[in-house]
Amino acid sequence: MNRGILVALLAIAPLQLQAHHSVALNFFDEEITLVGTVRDVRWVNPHASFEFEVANDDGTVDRWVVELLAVVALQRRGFNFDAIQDGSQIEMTARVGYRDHTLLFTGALLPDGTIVTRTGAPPE
Amino acid sequence: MKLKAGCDFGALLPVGLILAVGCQQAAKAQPNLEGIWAYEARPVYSTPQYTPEGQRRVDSYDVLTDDPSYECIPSGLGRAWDEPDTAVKIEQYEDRVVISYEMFDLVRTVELNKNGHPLQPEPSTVNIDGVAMPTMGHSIGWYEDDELVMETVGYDAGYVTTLRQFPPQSEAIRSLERLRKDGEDRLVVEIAYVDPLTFTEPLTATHSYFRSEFDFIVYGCIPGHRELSD
Repeated sequence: MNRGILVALLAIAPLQLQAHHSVALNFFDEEITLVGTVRDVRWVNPHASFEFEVANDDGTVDRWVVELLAVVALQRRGFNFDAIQDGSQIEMTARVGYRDHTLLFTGALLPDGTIVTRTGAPPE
Repeated sequence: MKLKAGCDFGALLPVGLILAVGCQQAAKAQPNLEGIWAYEARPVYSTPQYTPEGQRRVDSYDVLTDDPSYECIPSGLGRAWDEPDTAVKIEQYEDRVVISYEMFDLVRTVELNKNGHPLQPEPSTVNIDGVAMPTMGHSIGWYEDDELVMETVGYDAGYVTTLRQFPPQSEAIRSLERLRKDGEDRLVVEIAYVDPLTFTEPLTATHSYFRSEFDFIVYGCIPGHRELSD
């Protein structure tokens, strides 16, 4: 897991809080990429979410809470719900949250090459 | 559309012709805003001009604790209009307009043609459980030509919106909304916020909607931040 990235982001948090007020104010703008397993998906409003388990080289497992858009937004934008299920192995891009162990889902690559975007729109 | 009572053409004959014409003219004067409306694009806000107190509140805003959205509570009136991917339903009655927002299952009842606000205004907006939303104040409304005009006072302190920005509102804030159709299938909502404590000049916002292709749903908000399971 990229703990170094997390530390760097937290170190510049005051600047980020003032400078970046885009769609999700609770998350840094920078994205990270993690490979892991989806657990306990909850398709709810105002934020769908799941837990994400990332196995480290040293045998430890990091766990994250990953937020998505509201399920009503995902439904109306045509999100690929089948791609994110309990047990899914994905390579996920996400923005790190200001709260510990939180991420904002921005996209995922499935083992079969399927690309899942944050909103369900086709990948650019 | 549930407009003014008394336009029963059948009962007005034989002298009903003149009355019917007058009745229809009265009906035309009241815009038909009914329907389910979907968020079209990001609202356009003016650049807030803050008083020192307003700036202080902005500077002290904590993104982790000061946004009540995670508790399924709108920070202010603008937050209810701002939510993308959700719909707003407008129902017009003779004595009131009911505006339902999918976000947080809010139902806002605006009484029409009242002689001002009550001395102790109660919130006009409640959620599906009947819990009042004081950050959205007390509203009264009336029609002016092709617009529904709504004045709101009695707000609790909060933030006009917390989506992308967070202009603070004090309990002194008042707002004036104008809703009108732009063609048959487009709704425009223009809002002016006046708050002598936080703004040196009115904050304005323009929201636009088109007719929703989706049914109006129960949102079913789950409050709180999710934590990692044990």
